[in-house]
Amino acid sequence: MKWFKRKKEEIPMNRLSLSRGLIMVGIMCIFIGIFMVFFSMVLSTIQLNSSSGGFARPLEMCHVLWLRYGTSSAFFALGGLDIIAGYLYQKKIKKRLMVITSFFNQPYIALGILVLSILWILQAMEPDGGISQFFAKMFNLDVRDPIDALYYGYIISKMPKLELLLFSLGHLALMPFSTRVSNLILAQVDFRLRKKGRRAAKPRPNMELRFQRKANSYMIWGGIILGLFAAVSYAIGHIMAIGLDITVILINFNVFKFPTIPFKYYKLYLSVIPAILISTCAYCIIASIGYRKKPEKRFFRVLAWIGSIIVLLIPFYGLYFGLHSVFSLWYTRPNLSKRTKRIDIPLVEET
Amino acid sequence: MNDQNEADLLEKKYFRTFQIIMVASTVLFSGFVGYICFDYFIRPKVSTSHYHFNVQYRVGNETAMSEVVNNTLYPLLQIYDRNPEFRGNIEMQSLTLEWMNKTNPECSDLLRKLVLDTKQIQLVMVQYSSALAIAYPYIDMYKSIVHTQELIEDFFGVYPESGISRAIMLQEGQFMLGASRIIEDIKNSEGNPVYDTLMVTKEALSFFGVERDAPIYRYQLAGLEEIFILPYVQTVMEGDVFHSVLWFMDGELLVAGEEQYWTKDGYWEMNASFFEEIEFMTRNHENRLKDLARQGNHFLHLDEWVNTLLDRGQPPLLDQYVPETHWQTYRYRGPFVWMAQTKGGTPFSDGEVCSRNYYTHQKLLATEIMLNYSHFNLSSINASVYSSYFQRLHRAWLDLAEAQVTDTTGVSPRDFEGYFAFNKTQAALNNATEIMSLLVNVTNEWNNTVYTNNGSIQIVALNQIKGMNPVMTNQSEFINFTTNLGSGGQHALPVMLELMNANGLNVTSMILETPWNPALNYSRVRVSFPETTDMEENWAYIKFKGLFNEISYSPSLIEYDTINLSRSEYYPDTYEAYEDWDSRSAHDNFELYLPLANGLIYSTEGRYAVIKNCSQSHVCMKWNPDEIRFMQTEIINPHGETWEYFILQDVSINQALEFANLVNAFSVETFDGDDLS
Repeated sequence: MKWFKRKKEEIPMNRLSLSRGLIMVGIMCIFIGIFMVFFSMVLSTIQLNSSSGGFARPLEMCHVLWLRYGTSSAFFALGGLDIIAGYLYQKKIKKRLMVITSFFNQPYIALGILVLSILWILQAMEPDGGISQFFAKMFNLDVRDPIDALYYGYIISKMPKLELLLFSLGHLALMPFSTRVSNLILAQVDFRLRKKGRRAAKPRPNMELRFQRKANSYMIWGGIILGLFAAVSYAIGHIMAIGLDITVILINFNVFKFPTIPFKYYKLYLSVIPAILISTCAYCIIASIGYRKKPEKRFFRVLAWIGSIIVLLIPFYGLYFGLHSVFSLWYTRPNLSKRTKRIDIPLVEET
Repeated sequence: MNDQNEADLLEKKYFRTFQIIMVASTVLFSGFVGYICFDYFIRPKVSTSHYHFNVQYRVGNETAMSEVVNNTLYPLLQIYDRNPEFRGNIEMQSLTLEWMNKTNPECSDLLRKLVLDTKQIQLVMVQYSSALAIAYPYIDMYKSIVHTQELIEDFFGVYPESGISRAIMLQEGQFMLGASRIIEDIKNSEGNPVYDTLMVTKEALSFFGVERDAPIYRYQLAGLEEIFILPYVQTVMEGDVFHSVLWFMDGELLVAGEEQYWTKDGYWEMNASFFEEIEFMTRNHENRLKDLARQGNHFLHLDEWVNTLLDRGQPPLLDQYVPETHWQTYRYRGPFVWMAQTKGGTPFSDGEVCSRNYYTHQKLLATEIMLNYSHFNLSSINASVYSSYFQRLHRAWLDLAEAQVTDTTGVSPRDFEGYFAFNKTQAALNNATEIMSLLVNVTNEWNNTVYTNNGSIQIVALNQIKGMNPVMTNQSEFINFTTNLGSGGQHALPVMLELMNANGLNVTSMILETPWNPALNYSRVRVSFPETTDMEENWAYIKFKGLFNEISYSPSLIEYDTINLSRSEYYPDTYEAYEDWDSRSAHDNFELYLPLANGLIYSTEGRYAVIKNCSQSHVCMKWNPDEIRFMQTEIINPHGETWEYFILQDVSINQALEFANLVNAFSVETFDGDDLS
C-alpha cells in the first residue's frame, strides 16, 4: 500500500484526492462486476422457460452466461482501468490516459446503451409492433408478415438485451461517484474538446462558493432521491393494495428482511411513507433554495444543516450526498458575504 | 497573503473531504453489494421441483392426452435420464400412469427406472383424476386417492415408498386445510400416513392474512391430525439455505410453446395437434439445470426438503385459517374461475357442470349404499355378484372423478371439454341406474315396494352415519321436505334478497320432517335466470344481505363439522361493481370466495343459515361482512338456469349442518319404478 502511504507533501492534495477517488470508483466497479456474477447465478434458479411476462420466447441460458462472463468482465475491466489510472495519476499526470478513463466514467455511454437495450426489449415484447416495424427494415423484413415477425423475434431474442441493460444500470448506479470524479479530473487536466489558441490562466476558484454550491446541489439531489423513493413506496403500496404480496419478493434476500414492512401494513406504503418522504423532499429543496439565496442568514443555515442530516439517512446514496452537504456547510463561515455573480473571463487569442 | 493561505486551506479541505466521502461511500456501497453476494456464495444452494403435468389438459381429447405423455413428459424424463445428478418431483394424476402404459410403454419404463432404480424422480400423486376437490364431498376424493394407491402399486410392481411424495399438491394449486382428513384415512402398510404435507403458494398465504413468514408451518383442523403446510415461491433464502424451485408451473409449457418458431435451423411449425416438443426449450432447461449443478446446487426431493426443515425444529403454527383457494390467488380469486366464471367455447356454465357432478355424486352414493345394504344386510346377492356390481360402480365413480376435472370448468374450457363432463356423468348415472334396477329386481322387499305396490324407496346417506337403516321402504319413515301452505314469503326471511338479471323468484315456506328430530321450518328460495349473453351486463347473481361478518361453514372435505370465521380478520373487499372479479387496479379488492362443498353458510350473529342446493347450481360464494353473493359471470344456457337455496331461521349450527348434509353431501334419494326404467 505504498501508494496510500505516500507523503502528502510530495503530491498536491487535489491530485492525491482525485487519484484515490478514482481508485474508489474502480473498487466499486469491481463489486458491481461481482454483483453481475451473483445476479446471473440467481437467474439460473428462475424458470427461464416460462412464457409469462409478455415475452413469447423464453430467456435463453446463453444470455445468463454472457451476463456472468461478459458483463462482469466489462465491469472488472472498467474497474481495473480506474484503479490503474488512479495509481498512475499519483505518479504523473498522464493526460491522455486520464481523459480516456474519465470518458468511460461519464454516464453518456451507459445512457446510450440503456436506450438501445430498452428498444430491443420493447421489440422483444412485440416483434410485430410499431418499433419493430421501423427497425426490422434494416434486416429487409416486414414484420406485418407473420413469418417475418417470427424471424425478427428470433433475431431480437439473440440480441444481448439483458447483458446491456444490466451493464447500463450497473454503470448508472455509480453515476454520482464516477461522474463527479470524472468531471474533476477533466477540469484538473484542463481538457477541452476544441482547442482554440492558448487559454488564459484559470482564475483561483472561490472555494467558499464552491462549498456553498455543493451544499445546495447535493441537498437538492437528496431531495429528488427522496421524491423517487416516495414514488417507489406508492408503487409498492399500490401493488400490495390490489392483492399481490410484493414483500415475498423483497424479503427473498436477508438484507431486505429488516426494512420491509409486512404485507398487512400495505396502507402505510400508500399514504404515510410517501407523505413523509415527499415532505422531506420538499424540505430539502426549500432549505437548499433558501441557503442559496441567503447563505449568511443563520435561519437558512440551520435549515440547511437539518436538510443535510436528512439526506444522510437516505439508503445507498445518502452517505455520499449527505456527507458532501455536511462538510460543505461545515467549512463555510457563518458570516459569509452575500453571493456574487459569476463573471466570464474572455479567452485570450494567440497572437 | 492571509487570503491566499485561507484559500489554500479551503482547497485542501475541499479535496480532503472529497477523499473521505469517496472512501466512506465505497465502503458502504461495496460493503452492501459485497454482503449480498457473499451471503449468496457461501450459503448452500438447494432446489426442489414439482413439474406439474396434466394429462387432462384438454380433457376428452385423446390426441391431447397422448401428446402430453409423448411430447412433453417423455422429453423431461429423458433430460433426467441423461443427467444422473438431477433430482426432482413430478406431480400428476394417476390417470397418467394408465395412459402412459397405453400410449408409450417406453415412457413407462423410463419412469419406473427413474423412480425405482436411480431414484431421481419422486412423484407427487394424489388423485386419480385432477378433480376440483374443493367443490365436492370427501368421499369422491377418498375413492380417487385409494384408486391411485392401487394404480401406483400396479404400475411399479411394488409400492415405492420413497418414490411417492408425502406432499399433496393438486391441480391448479388447489389448497384446502380439510385435506388433513387424508392423513388419518390414507395410511401405508406400517400404519403411517402416506400424505401429511399440503403445498400452497406464499402469495396465497399473504392474500389471506398469514403474517408469520416461515419455510414450513403446521396446522390442526377440527380435531384431526396435524398437517404440515409447505409454502413455495420461486427463489428464496429460507431454512439457512438458498432454496429455488426448478419448475412449479405446467410441465407441458416447459418444453412446448407457441405453434410456430424460428430456430437456428430455420422456421419450425408444430405438427402435433396440441403439444409438441420444441428442442431449444428442452435444451435450454437442461442447460440451466447443468449450470445449477456446476454451481454446487443440491437437487432435493420434496420429502428431503420437508425432512430438512422438520429437523431444524418444530414448525410454527399457521397463524391464520386459510380458506379454500387456488394458486395465483390474486389473479384467479380462489375458486372463482372454476365455479362462477363462464368463458371459452363450452356450452355449459360452471354452475351447471359442478351441479351435475354433484348430482351424480348423490346418485352414486345412494347406489353404493343400496349395494352394500343388499349384500351385507339383506344377503340378497352373493359375493361374486356383489363384486361384479361393485366393479361397475367403481368405474362409475372413476367416470365421475374424470368429469370433476378442473378443466371442464376452469380457464376457458373448450366445447369438447364441457361435453366430456356431461358424457362422463351420463355414463356414471346410467351405470348407477342399471345397478339400482338390478338390485331392486333381486331383492324381494324392494321389488315388492317398487313394482308390486308402486311405491318408492328412500336412501338416506346420513342414516348410514347415524347407524340407522339407510334404505327405507316404509313411507311413514321417509324424510319429507313438504310445502307449508299459508305462511312465509320473502318478507319473512331474515335476509334481504338482491337479484341481477333474474326473471323469476319464488319463496316458499317448507317443513322438514325427519324421524329423529322435530319438524323444522325453513324457506326455499328459487330464482331463475334467462340467457344473459346478449345483455349489456352478462352477470347473474343472487345476494343475501344480512349479518355475515361472523359465520360458520364446513371446510371442503370436512362436511361433518364446521368452523367459525370472521370476515374482518381478512383483508377488505370494498369494490363491488360489474366485472370486479377482473379488476386488477382497484385497491382493497381482496375478494374472498368460498366453494361451500356442502352448501352451508351460517350466520352466528343472526342464528340463521343459507344453504345452497349444490345439485341445482353449484357456484361459489363471495363473502362480505354484510352480504353473500352467488354469481355466474354469464348464463349461456338458452333455457336459462334455476338456482335453489334454503334459509333456516333461529336454528343452531348443528341443525343447519344436518340440514345441509341432508340436501347435499349425504342427500336423501327417493326413487320409484319410473326412475329405474
